[in-house]
Amino acid sequence: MNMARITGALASVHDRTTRFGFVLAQVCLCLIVFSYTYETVSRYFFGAPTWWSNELVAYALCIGTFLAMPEVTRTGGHIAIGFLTESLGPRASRVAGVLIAIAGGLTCLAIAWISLRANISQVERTEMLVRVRPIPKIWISAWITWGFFSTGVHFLRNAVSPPSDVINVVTA
Amino acid sequence: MEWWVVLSGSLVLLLAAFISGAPLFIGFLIVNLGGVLFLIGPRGFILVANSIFDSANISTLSAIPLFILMGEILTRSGSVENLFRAMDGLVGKIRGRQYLLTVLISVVFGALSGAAMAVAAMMGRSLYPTMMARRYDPGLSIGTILAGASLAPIIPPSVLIVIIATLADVSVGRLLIAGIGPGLVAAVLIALYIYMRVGANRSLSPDVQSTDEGAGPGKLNSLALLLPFSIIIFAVMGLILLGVATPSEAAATGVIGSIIVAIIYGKFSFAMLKEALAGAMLITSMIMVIVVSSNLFGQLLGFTGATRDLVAFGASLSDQPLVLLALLLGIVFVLCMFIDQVALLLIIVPIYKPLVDAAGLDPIWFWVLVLINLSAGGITPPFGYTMFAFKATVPGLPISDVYRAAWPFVGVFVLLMILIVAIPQIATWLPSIM
Repeated sequence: MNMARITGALASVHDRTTRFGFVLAQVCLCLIVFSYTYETVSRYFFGAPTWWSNELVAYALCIGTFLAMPEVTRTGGHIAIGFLTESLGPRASRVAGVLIAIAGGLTCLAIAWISLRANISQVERTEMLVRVRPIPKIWISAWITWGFFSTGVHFLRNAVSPPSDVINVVTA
Repeated sequence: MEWWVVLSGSLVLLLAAFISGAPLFIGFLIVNLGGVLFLIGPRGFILVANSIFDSANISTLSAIPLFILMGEILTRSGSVENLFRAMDGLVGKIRGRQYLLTVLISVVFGALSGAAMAVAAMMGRSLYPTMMARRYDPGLSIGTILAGASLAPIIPPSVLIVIIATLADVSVGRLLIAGIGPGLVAAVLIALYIYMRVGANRSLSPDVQSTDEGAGPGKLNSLALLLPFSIIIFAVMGLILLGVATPSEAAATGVIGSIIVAIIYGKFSFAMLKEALAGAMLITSMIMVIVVSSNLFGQLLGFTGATRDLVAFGASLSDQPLVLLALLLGIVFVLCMFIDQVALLLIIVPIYKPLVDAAGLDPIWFWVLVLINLSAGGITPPFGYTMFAFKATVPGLPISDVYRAAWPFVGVFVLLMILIVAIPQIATWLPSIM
């Protein structure tokens, strides 16, 4: 098997993992809607507040954000101020795009490495999240490491071949 | 090192990173990593990991994806088209009818959506072509749509308000409710400005008596068509005001409300819901990664002592609160011309918060003023997402025309800020009775 086929297969696995993670991120969003609706009804109509809704929402938001992050990068959807790069000529604009993607990739991989070291330390020290029902911190923080790692790889892949499907960004 | 050197140096570095075209969160991360290396060294990297983890686990921020999902369901299902039809039937045959219609739709749409860009794009696609076909003035039409869309972040629900309140440690519910008064006053000011213009120059608006404008579904039918939207407004604002739900919980009930509305209009499908979930999660991730990446910036400024010295400087101006206020708002106004609103918010809140506390300014009042400033920033040339979202729906339109049309309405928002400074109750009365 030649090098191109190996990298192609790896890229395909990475894309499928990214898309599967994005589906899970949407499940996290459904969990947030369900938890808070259940909490409101349960507390107001039955006088029975839950202990888990706030915790579940915080975890789902964190996990969902970092599972969706690689998909945002894959589709070139991150928010950026582009008037300077857009004012450049086509060749200069392409070079700037490659440099930005490389800088983005290296930064995300550096953060993934920092986060991984924090993960290892959390496991070694059996760090728990101080909540109503404490859980190991690594259960949540590991998704941050994955999010930055996968995003970093997508940025580096974007440096080689830029994303074609650009999404409209809606912020505020 | 002097505090102002640290502060201005880090701001210049951050602005340079943004203007380079790099994603905003990468700009924040590079500056934060550099700051940690310079100030603490590699052993400080754990601060970066902890700061990202802590800010990603704030449950109040969950209102952001929920407000976005609400808007996505309403727009993707096509439910908002009923809002347009209903409002069309409610406004009579008066001169400048389409302008007034745009303002009224903006107010109701603002109470259903938390994002100005979504409103600008929606009105650019639906109202602008109608206004052009009916020979309304292009400049005034563009300006009215841009100004109307800018009401969305002010009138709850609002993504910007959730971010401001969370970062500034202000009650999200009170700040959301505080947006109602200024949002309504802004709508009145926009309508007054339009009628002054149309009154002075009648060529800006066609004579509607001789056209078929206003031949909508009739007043009663229009009200009936509008009624389902009250479910969402009650599910969000009603539940917050009644103290039944927290803002995040109300956002979740708002999502359920928007699904019910789509079902009532016969526009619900699981395919639509799937698209809405995907769209909301993408936008949420875009915003959240910027929020979590920026969190350390304020902590590093505090670590250098720049924040403490800035507070001391601010305290020296505490006997001249108006000067301090003008300075703080002026900086936001100028920076808004060049920087994304969310990024700017994440830079200024950690810097402004201690200053506001030290000067004894009412935090609800102050952050509402910042919110209006940021909303106006979306239509302040040359950089503003609201303008860009509108421009994207009208491809042949030169951006210079959009800029020209936006300026007078930026003036209207400045007038609104002056009014709120003079009469703080516009912003503070509703939260005070909660």
